[in-house]
Amino acid sequence: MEPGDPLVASAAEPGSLSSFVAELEADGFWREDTKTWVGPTRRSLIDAGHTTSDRMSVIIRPAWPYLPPLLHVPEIKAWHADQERLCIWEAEDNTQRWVTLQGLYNRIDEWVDAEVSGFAGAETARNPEIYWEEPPSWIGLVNLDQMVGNDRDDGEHDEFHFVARTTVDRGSDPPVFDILPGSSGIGLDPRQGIADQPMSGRWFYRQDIRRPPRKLQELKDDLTDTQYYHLNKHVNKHTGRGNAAMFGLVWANMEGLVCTMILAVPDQRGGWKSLVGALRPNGTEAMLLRAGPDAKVLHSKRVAVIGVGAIGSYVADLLVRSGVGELRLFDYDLLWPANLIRHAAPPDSPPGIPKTTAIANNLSSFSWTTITTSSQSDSIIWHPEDIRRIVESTDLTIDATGHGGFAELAARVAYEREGAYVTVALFRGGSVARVRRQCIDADTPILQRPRLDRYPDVLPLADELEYAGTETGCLARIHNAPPVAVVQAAATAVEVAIDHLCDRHQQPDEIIEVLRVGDKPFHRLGRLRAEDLPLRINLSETALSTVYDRAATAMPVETGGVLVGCEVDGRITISDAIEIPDRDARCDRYGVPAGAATEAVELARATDPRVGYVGEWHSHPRPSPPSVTDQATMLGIAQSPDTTNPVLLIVTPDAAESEVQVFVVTPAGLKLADVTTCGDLPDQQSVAA
Amino acid sequence: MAVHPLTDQFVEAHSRISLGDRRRIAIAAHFEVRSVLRASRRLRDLGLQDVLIGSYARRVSIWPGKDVDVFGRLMKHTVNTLDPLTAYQAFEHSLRHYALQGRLTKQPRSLKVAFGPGRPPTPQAIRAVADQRDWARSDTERLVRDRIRIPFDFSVDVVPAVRYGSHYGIPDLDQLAGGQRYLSRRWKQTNPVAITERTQQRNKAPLIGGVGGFVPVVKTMKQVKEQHLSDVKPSALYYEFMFHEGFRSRMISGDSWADITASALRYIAKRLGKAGSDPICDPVLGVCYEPQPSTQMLLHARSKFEDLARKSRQAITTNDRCQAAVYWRAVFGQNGRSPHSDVFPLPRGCRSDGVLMGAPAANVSTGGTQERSFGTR
Repeated sequence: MEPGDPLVASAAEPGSLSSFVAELEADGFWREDTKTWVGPTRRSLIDAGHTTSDRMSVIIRPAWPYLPPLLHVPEIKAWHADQERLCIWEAEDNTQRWVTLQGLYNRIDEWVDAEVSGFAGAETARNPEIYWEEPPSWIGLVNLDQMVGNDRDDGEHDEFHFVARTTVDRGSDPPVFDILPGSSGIGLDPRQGIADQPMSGRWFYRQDIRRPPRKLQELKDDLTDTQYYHLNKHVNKHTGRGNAAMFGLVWANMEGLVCTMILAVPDQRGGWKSLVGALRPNGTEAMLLRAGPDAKVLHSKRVAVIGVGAIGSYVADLLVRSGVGELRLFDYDLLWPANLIRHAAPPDSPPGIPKTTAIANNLSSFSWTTITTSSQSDSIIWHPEDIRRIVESTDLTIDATGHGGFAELAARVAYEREGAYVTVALFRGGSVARVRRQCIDADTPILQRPRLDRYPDVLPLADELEYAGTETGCLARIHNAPPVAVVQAAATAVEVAIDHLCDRHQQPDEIIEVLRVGDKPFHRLGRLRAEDLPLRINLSETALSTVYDRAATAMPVETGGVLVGCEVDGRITISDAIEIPDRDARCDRYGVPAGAATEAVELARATDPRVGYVGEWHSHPRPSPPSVTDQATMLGIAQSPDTTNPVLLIVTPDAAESEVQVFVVTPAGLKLADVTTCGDLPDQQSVAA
Repeated sequence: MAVHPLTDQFVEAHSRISLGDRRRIAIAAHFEVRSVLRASRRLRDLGLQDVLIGSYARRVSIWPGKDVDVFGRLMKHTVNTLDPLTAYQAFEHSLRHYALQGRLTKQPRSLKVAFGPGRPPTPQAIRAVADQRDWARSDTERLVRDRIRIPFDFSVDVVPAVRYGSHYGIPDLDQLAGGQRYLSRRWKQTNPVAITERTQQRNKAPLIGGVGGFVPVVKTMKQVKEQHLSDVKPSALYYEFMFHEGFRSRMISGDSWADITASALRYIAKRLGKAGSDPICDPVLGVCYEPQPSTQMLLHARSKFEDLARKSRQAITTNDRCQAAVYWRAVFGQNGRSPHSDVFPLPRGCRSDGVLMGAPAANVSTGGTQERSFGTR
């Protein structure tokens, strides 16, 4: 192929295409037009009786090799060969088996074998109209299970009705019909053609058919005698009056019911012509097929969403689309045009409508969810008793108010009432989303999280980055979060909600998602991980004072000793420092004799039995990091069976350059810790389980 | 009443802003200089009666400490009988051996004798004061031993004085250059002795936990001022005068250290607001504090103290003990006595970020018995 060939220009891999074409031409194919090569029909197709033609066509499509070539075999009438084109590649096929001629031939042979054993057992496609001799000229929206019913027998037939959603005079758009079970019940028959009034149809069920009908006679051949009689009667009755009639052959494949549906339209000569329709599923079940595997479980769940602003509206939207059975929406705020940019309500929502109503209206088509709204006043959500009622009457309460105070209040009430609770908010101008869950016993109560390092505080940015401006109301500042951040936060919240409602609890009880990078610890995109967080330790003022005073007294030589303490709120807490004098200490050396550390710890424990060994401390007369000797000693101590992550504190008492540094031995070596000073340990009665 | 008075923490904070050993060193230095003065026949002939004045006398000195003032009253003279320069030179002469050591500095109103780790008070001076004041022998010997290691640079300021009516006159050599027709006008009237007495009087009520409230609150104010308005005029003495007024009128009051401190900060903020039209005065002489602070100074100080008053208000009203401590820590700040510690200590079970600590998990680790070796080589 020449480099300027338009087919080469359309290929993603021209070399591969040239190679394939070369193989084709070597095997007797010649180019018929820009994209079609005609050549000898694959022998297996002739042998199996699919065609008598000795020529078949290979049609190359753009983007080679990402789209497979089409195969046209004259006369072929088999299932999976619509319009004489073999259906040999699945829609998502990306095997690229077709890049060699042998690969194409192999696939043809496989198809022939499959056809011999019958496609029916493996058939999943639900659009049999593709086999019809003419392309579909109208669209029908139908719930076949609802129309035909579950308890059906072979040869059964019954009435249905259909109504046009659009009329034939809408230009080139194909007409669309709602096809509904049962007779219309209102006895209306249009006088002429296709109109908006309900019209009569009839379905005919067969347990099994050989292949989808390709034309009217084949469809009739698939009917029982009784069905055949009723078909003729039905069509003649309606077309005889000049009205359209509809009928369909229904059967089941692997995935469920399929139907070839025909619209019979009277013609000028007193007869009628048949037009095949493309049926598309309609109704709750069809929609919920796309709602994911949890829809069935979610159907029995009741969820409250408090705050139906930007995030809350998308939370509500996603919950409904996921299949939640009951949704209660609380928000006293009204929707104004400026809100719409990041709200899930339709852009043409009337100004001033309650946000809850706007969302409820927008989701009303999803009939499986019962939506109730409350938009009376702010007191409904701020009164603890009301929150209690909400929490107790639902399987999950989601706070999406973005109000830190309310989130805490609701968390408090939910905890007291043992109700499941999730709160979602965006921070730092929409660059960080946080979802907190307080649903099961293993979840840390939200009110206890501020003191725990694994739940880092998300500190706000400067106002100019946090807010886009001020609009109405008292300090009603507009948060800077863009719509994409809003949707991401909502999606994460709903993910956590569904995870809980389906009783999986695979998600952690708190997710912090970095949507745009910022300062540490938000310097990496994606979910915040433990290793992103600074290592923090508590150092009591008593211990701090001791190490400083002892080090200052010992100057210019070093001194040191052991650190005692315990873990508080998951954080190493140094409650005291004990000096172990070393007579041989020098300005660059300090040592602890064998057994002295344990002895000092035991002494400390006599005063407070809660404390134990935490680590070592010593002074450096001048500021310097831990030496190689220091590190080796600490790594050695970490090997002790009863010691994990020992701490090394280095104090420099020099008045001008005084410094206290604390390192924690981790598997990756010594890591500098952030020190938080603290008072002495809480009362001795207090011991964690 | 403060929700959380944090009494122990206030007592500890008062202790942390006090001078500790530095006060004893300063007193010993004062004793040493006073002995030199008393040894001078010339001064004795002029009727020398020395007395400790200033913040040390009023016991309101705070860490890191400043100069000690000795008031050298020549009681046989009045502002009408002695020229200030003559009085000044008499003191200068008596301190001449300090001048030989390079430790004497002449100032307009006083003569400054420098002390520090390199020139501490003598062991004899320390022991003599210790005998007078009944210091524990061990403390005294520790002081004698450590006096060269205590990093405290200060001076003893000797202020010459004569009688000036019922008060005193002190020289101001800067003013002498212009000349004055009347001798008495060459002296500047003051009465630090009476201010000391007035302070002692003021400290008798109210009592907080049996302790006089005035002095600790003044010390607190000085620490707060040093922390938030360091080197900003007006000086701490201005606020001390303001406190005399506030305590006298009972506008500053409280049943706990927290309450009275919050009350004092509130009073300062309010009083600064009208100090331009209603100046602060010397509680003894009744004359306006000089030099009077400018409007800009007052506005700046008022803004700062309003913020501190707000914090103290939050500290006494919050239900959270740890948060209360954090507010007070912000008010008190640090003073460098312990480089990494705030003046206001944290209550048991509180973190410096205001979080109430949970229950500790018992730690059974003993740390192992192996030998440890640390070092830079």
